[in-house]
Amino acid sequence: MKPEESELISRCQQGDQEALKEIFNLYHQKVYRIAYGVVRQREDALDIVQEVFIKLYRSIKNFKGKSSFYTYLYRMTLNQAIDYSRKAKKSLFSRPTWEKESEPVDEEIQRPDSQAAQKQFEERVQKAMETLSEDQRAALILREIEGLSYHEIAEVMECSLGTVMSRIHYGRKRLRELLKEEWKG
Amino acid sequence: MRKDCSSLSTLLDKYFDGETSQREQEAVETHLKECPACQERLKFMSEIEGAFRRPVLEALEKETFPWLWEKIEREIRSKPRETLWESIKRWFEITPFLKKRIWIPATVVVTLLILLISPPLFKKNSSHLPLPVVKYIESKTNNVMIYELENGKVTVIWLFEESEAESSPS
Repeated sequence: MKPEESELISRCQQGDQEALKEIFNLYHQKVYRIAYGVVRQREDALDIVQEVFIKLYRSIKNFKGKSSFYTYLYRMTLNQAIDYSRKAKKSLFSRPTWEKESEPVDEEIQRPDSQAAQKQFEERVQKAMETLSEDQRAALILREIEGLSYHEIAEVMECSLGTVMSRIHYGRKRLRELLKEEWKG
Repeated sequence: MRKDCSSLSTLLDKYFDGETSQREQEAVETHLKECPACQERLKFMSEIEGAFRRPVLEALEKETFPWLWEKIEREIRSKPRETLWESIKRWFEITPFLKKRIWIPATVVVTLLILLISPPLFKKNSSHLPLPVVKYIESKTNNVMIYELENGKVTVIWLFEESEAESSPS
């Protein structure tokens, strides 16, 4: 942990709201990216960011520095986002969204060459993501949106390196199966 | 898909994520030169990553956050301490004891221990003598104490009182 960050955390633990503001300025975009990656709704993502920083302020005394601060914050954000989406009964982590579609699975989808096709493909990918398990989806969000290494992902998700690789591998495999009509391979 | 492709399946993910060792990287790159299917798969992984990231980054670009900080600050000032319920909730979220990988094996171990130690605890100790039933019968001539054991054995104790002539001082 950087000394400046360590000092900020220490001040925040003593109730210094200015320190929390500085932490907010450093991390709010990362927190928003993860939140939006999970819920895909602007309002919900902003609610999650707000809840995360309020929760951080109240619970930061429990941060002992055993892991890095961003690991602690990312874990809190992921848990909050998943919890939020469960409570809101969003379909992000349930299977039915993909299966409920009336269009046939083997519909020919254009490769994303044009902007409209790109948007269509993004929606298809998003819906396919919704069918993954929470762990697979969380691992892919941390990898593909935040660009964390496998080791960092393992730290955030509190699992082994092998488990991270497995989640990413089978998550991508599932996406290939669902989107196989566009890509033969 | 060739046989080599299956064996390199996981490595391709690692290669895409930049997590391979030097040796693994060379193995993947050698394979890719000769396998259009895996080249296509790699390209597909890149397309998916882009399709997943773009909406998130676009949403972030449109967002401004100063007003959000003001909202957070107001919330903290209005309720600086967490409620008891929030503390309990937070404890449930962070305590390691409620993680499945902790409590499931712990429950199994405790159950096994209980099953192992409970029979000896409730087993009757054969060296311990059962408590006798005592009957005491008084009569004009003698007093009798009768012990009856559970195994059917009976012990009789006669109690004689000293005669007055023997006990009086000379």
